[in-house]
Amino acid sequence: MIEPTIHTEDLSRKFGRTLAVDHVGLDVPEGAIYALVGANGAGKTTLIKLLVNILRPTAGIARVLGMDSSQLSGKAFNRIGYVSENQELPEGMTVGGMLDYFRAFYSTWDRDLEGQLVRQFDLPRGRKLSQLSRGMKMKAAFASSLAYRPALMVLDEPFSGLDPLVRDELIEVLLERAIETTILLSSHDLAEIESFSSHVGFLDSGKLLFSEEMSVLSERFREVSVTLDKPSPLPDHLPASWLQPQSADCMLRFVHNRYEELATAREIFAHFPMARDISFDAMPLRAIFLAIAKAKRGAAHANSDAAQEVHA
Amino acid sequence: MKQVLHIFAKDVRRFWPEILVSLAITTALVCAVSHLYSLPMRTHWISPEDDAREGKLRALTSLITLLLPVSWWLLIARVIYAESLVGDRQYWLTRPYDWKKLLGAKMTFIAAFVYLPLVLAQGVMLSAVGLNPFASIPGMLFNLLLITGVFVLPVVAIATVTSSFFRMTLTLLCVLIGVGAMAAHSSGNSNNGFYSESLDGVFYQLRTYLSPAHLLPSGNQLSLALLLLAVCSIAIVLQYTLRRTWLSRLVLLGAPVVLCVVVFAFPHRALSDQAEMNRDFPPPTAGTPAPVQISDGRDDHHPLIRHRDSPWDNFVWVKVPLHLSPIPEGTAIVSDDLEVTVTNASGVSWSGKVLDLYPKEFLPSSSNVSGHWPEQSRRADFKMPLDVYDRLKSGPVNLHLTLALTELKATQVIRIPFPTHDVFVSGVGVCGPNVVGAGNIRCRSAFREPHFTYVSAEWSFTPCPTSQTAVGEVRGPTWAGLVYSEPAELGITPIMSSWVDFMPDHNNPTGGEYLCTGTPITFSQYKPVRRTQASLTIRNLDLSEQQ
Repeated sequence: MIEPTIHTEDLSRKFGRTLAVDHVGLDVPEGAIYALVGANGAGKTTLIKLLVNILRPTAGIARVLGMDSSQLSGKAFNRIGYVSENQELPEGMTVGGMLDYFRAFYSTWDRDLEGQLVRQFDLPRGRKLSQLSRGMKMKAAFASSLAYRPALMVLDEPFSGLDPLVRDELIEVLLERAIETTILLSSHDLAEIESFSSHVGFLDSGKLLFSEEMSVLSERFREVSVTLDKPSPLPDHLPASWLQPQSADCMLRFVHNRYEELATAREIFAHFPMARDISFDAMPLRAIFLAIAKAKRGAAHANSDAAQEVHA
Repeated sequence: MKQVLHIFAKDVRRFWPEILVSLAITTALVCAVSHLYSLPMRTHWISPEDDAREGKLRALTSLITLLLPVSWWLLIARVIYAESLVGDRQYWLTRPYDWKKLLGAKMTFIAAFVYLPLVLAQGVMLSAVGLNPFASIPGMLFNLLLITGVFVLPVVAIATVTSSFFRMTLTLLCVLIGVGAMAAHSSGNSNNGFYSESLDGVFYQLRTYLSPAHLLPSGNQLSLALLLLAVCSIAIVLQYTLRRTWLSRLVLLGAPVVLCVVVFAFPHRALSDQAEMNRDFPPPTAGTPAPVQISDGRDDHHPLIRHRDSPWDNFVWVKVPLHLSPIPEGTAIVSDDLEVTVTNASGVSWSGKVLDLYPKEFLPSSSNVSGHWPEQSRRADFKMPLDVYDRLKSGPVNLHLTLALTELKATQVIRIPFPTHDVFVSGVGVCGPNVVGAGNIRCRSAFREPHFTYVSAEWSFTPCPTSQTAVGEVRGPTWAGLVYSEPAELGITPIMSSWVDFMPDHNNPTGGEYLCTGTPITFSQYKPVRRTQASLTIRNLDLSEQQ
């Protein structure tokens, strides 16, 4: 069995009393473009920093390219590229100076590729990094991390705050390199990663709610609309896979997170024998995450209300 | 090595302005020191303008000497922060940096732009005053060790555990305030018998606690340097290997905490004076007797003296004449410390330190020793609290004296004619007349004061044929240099100035008071060979005796 490029088990990181990463189990297969998504403060950056040994885990393990992540140092970074929106670059250097400086660290540095990236990104070799715009700095960071053909690229919110043109340029270059590189990138903008990610993981309050292939995720989530013969109230006990069920007059709507056409239809008829018409609509990633987030929030409220009732 | 040089070259390219500033300050120091020491000897009266000019040059030299470590501090901080170890956003954290090579590159930078310029500058300064830099290499290396331990590594260590130059500066200020407070506290305790004027006192105390296990060497400077070197090295290596900033900070904080615990929590000595003396100056044994015997020296000409300086004083001076046995040829003995214990028949006892034993150097009677006291006579002066004295004076007491002694052997004797210009005296340095007629010689040595040296002159009692003038009073021989000294003093400027001041001596049989060009001067150098004790008990001493 091929070991995933990234594998974590019960990976946790605490800051004081705050559990920023909460027992995360994650697998990023080789060749994947894995999008780690979640709201701001969900723990994406912390998880990524744990993976590249910028931070050390409080508990659990992470293996990156077959190595314990806490042992990653020195030559191990010959095979890992890391670009982060918050990363400090050697601002006193010119773009060319930085590329010249980094080149000597990597045995696999490809000068032709470096030249190609510089041209593609239209990078001004002679300008100091401190004088570059945010977008140009990000391009320079990409160029300096792709030129040695890393086996793994770890990108922390790489497109955050960039204009669409720069973002598209970066994505284009990234996809060109995706053939030989496993990519893990974090984002809170679902639309920007939906088009090219092969896998997705959803992090919420440090917990990984799910992690799977994008195609599987798209297949298993459907927005279900049921037309009933007559108005019917929602039964008390609906399947857990029905998220955000709502009924109005003769219409029932919900999101199904374990969609299989026949099984789901049977399930609906079991609860609503008077169902006249059923439609299953594919959902964009953004709608899926909204449904999950709202369902989670609803469940949290329900638990809180139940707890208050018990307490009363 | 390739990565070390690569990072080093990057730092040089980036910090060349800072490097140039530091090198310029070093060059300015060399010029100022060389110019200062090449000023003409004060063989004649100089004008107020020249005097003011020399004063300005001295002030400028002091300022540059202060600026140089500041420039090093900036240079070191900048180069460490180029790959800052605190934080999680630095680009280099996810690049193939090897921590050993990164640390090696930083140390190479410090070696190239702090140590190398300093060594070259010191070499040039030594040459400028006529001292051979190559003969001073051990002192130079020792001085570098001290600078490394006391300055360079602490600055590197603080830079590795702080995230910005501002925080580093704040931390350094806190450290300096802490050190100052400890030194002040230690100095404030000097009335309680602490040997302390400055930070030396802190280390004296620390060593007092640690020395039963012989954890620290005897030299205060070396103790400080080695302690800081060890603590800072651990913190630096920890930080470069693990980047666990809090752990490294804990290590760095641990050292001053230990010092504070020693200095503040245990304000009294762990050892009694006597026990401490026994540790540092082992008592003589049957096989190794004391090099000198001390006996009661009271006679009609040298009585026991007790007096109060004023009726308001709450202590009484007691002055006990002593007699020494002959000292073997080629030997000198120095009394380093003297404890006194006074006990009466009813068991009342008081112990204290002898404040004065004049002169404290003992030489064979054949030597040209002179002074107010005959060669074999000494007097131990100590102060007793008035209340203790009043209790003890009513009856006979036993007085026990213990002298801590260092035995020295003559290593070389050099005889030179009194010079008109600087001449090299082996083992001492470059010596020349300071002011003709003033009866002293100025010597310059490399990194440290010379070994303990007995200097005598054949004084002339007829005026010199040249313009040299009389001292104005009869002078005798003197001692110069230090009994115990480390290979170098901590400092940037390698030139140590010392003056051979011939002592007033009215017993000088020649009665000479002229030091003429060509007058023979003898330098007899001594080196310590052992430390021991000599003791004396005077029974039934009557303290009430009125003299």
